[in-house]
Amino acid sequence: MLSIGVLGTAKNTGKTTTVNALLKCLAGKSLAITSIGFDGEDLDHITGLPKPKVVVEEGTVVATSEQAAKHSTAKLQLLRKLNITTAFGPICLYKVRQSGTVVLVGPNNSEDLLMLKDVLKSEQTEIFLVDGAINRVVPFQHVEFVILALGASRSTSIDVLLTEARVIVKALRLPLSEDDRNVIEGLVSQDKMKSLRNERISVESPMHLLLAEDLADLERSLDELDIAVLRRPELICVTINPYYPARRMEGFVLDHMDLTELSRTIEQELNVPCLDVMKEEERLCRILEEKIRGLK
Amino acid sequence: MKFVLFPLDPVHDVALKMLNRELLKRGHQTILLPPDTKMEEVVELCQKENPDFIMVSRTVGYGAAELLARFIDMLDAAGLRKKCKVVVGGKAITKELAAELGYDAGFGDRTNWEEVIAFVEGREVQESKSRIVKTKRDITHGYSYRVHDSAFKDLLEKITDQIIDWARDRTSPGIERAKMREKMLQGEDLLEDYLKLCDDTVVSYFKKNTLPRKVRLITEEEKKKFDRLVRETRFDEKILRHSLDRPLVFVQYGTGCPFMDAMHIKVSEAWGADGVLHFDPSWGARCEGLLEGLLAHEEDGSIITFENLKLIKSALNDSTLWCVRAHRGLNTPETVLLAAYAKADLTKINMVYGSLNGGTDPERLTVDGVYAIKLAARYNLPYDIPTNEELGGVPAHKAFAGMLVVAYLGVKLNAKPILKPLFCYSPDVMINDYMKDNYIDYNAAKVIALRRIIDAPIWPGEPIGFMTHTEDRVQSAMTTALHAALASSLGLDAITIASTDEAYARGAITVSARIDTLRAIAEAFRFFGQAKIEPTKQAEEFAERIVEGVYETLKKVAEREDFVASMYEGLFGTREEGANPGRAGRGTVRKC
Repeated sequence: MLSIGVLGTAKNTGKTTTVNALLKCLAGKSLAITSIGFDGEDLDHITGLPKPKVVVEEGTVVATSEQAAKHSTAKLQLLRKLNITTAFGPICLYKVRQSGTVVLVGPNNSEDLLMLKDVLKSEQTEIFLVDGAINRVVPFQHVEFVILALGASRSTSIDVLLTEARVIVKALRLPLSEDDRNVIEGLVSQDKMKSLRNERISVESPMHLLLAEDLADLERSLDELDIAVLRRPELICVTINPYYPARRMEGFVLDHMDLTELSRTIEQELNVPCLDVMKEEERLCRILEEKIRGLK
Repeated sequence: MKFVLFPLDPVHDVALKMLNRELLKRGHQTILLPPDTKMEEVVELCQKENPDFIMVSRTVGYGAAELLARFIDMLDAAGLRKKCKVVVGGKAITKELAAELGYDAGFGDRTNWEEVIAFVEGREVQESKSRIVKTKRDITHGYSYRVHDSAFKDLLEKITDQIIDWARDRTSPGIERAKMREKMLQGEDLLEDYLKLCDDTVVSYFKKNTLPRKVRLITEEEKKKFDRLVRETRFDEKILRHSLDRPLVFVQYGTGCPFMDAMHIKVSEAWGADGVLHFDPSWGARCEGLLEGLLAHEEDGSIITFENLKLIKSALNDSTLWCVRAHRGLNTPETVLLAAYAKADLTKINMVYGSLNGGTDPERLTVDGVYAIKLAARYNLPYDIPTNEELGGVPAHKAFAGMLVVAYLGVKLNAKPILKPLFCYSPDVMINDYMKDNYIDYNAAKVIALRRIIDAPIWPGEPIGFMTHTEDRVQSAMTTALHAALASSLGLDAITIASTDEAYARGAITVSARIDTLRAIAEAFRFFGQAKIEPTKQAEEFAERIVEGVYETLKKVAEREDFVASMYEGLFGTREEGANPGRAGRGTVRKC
């Protein structure tokens, strides 16, 4: 089974839009989907702006809570209840019997996501899609591939977005650890990293590093230190969302900015495909297809 | 259980401190961190302490969600996520947001401690338990109607005996119509006879389908839409009174359109009103006979028809008390009857005010009033007695004398009266300069005086603060709220309020203006709670003077041995004081 996570750097960076595009690209395969948070609501919980909904086709396996399942327009058949709890009750596995929208409330931590992965293996799932939540990254230490969703909602400064993308890409490209390294388990603070300047160290995953408060600081450490990781997902591509909620007198309104320059720089300097899924869905599908073919 | 309480905020930690208090009270072990602690430090501390719960508080603005998500990720990375439950609380936090952020639970603005404690202690959270269930209250419950001083009692006995005796062999078109209406409501066809006792406006409506000016029929289609709207309109109940038991808060409506009235009622109920008053158009009071059907018109007050009343009733919450005013016009007995058949809870009768300020002839309204009180007794409708003649400048003691006569008459006829002194900066007060440096003393004096005389419910009217209000909405909400606080301070049973734009509304009263007033009152009740407004010694002196004045007035009326003549002759207020005996229906009373 291949697992693909869509992680964002903030709210409204285009995770759900990317997930919907992926679902279309992968139609015909044996799919399963969940979210590490909550997705598919009508309106954003903070800005009150409308959100895209997750649309699933017949045959897809959906992991969501019972309460959330009731708010889906897709016809869902209960497969079984899992021992994973959330603020919206325990997670269940459903099979889509008739396509429609679905509200996803999934495992909200790494261990539970790992448990769900195990369960899905026995369901003969080919591809498992995991929708991200806000800027959460840590549960993605357990997926094989990630797509990074960047957007103007994180910042309207191209510099900030580019720096963030560069650091995330660097972290995701850290080498896998060999046996003789000094392994640091759990959270790695900047102070601790600095104190290990002359050692060959290994951390659990790039996600453990990406929690640093100051990404510029983290970038310096990544450049200067000898760090490897025990596990990490491979980055497939970056998606960009030029739309963002802007605060106005009357509340939040949808605004947008030009991100073509950012997109070009990411492709050229970081050597990662970067696309706007609203305009380049076919390209996303091609990239994905090549990736899956390459694995076989 | 062990808790780490973490204010993820540079400054605010009050809610967490309060939660800490509740947790300690229940014997839990807690570590309360100061605001502005670094997340890394919190993670380290939690690794060391191994709490069962990490309680995070944060006011949500844009950017806060990302911060909360980063914290949960840090706990995840540190391997703590499955070892302890993580709960987020704060203004604007919802269950959905907590789920989106990956927390185990989220509690927002209006959470009570019980819910949080129940959650952490693993008990089922009873959301429905916190819902308010309102029930109807009987304002007159617990009052003996005893007159404390025998001198007062003797006078009231004498006056009311005279009234009952006088009214015994008299009748009026109003009473005859009420008798016919009762049979018509039971299915008899008496329209021809009924119309013989009506004015042209009513006759041509029935015979020629001519609508009175500015009146229109409501269509069947409009009615259907309305029924659907009422069915679909649901609000969570609210209570305005904080920790107080009384006063009940009434809102008066009368937009001219029963649909609009119903929506005003729904909004008022949603914001905590306990009762509503049907305000009739003044021209309706000067016309012999009532119209029929669903009718809307363009001016102040809503037309009294059985259909209009039934429509309003269909929109009311079960707990909402409903008063249909019948106090002043040529249709007084019939209105009480319709109120009873439409299942109103209360009505309003005061023949003194209705005669001296409402424009109805004293003789006519006395005959009709006695019959109306008998109907109110028969149908178990308590009735309130407004003393709005004060608005014309009639001194309080004279207005009160009239009110007490009408109240005592009611007690004698087995009805349940409610006293309604005016609570405002009235002309009487302005002319005599009674409330020089506060708006409390004279209003409080009225209540003290009435309580010295009789044990009866008191519901100041109507509305409170009226005439104290200006065209400024803030001022208007504020004065209403302060008068409401005074009423609660004096332990009164109910109050009626206006909307903030009532003093200057040149069109329909707006719904937002109603909400303003209701919110202002809720805040005043919350502010004072069980604390009291204290009048100065002046209030006592005023009260004594009022009691004396009432006694003097009653004495003169008793000596005159003719209640009706007392009204014509100015014993309940002279023309100079603003009491003008009305002319509508003059000469229509006949012996039977």
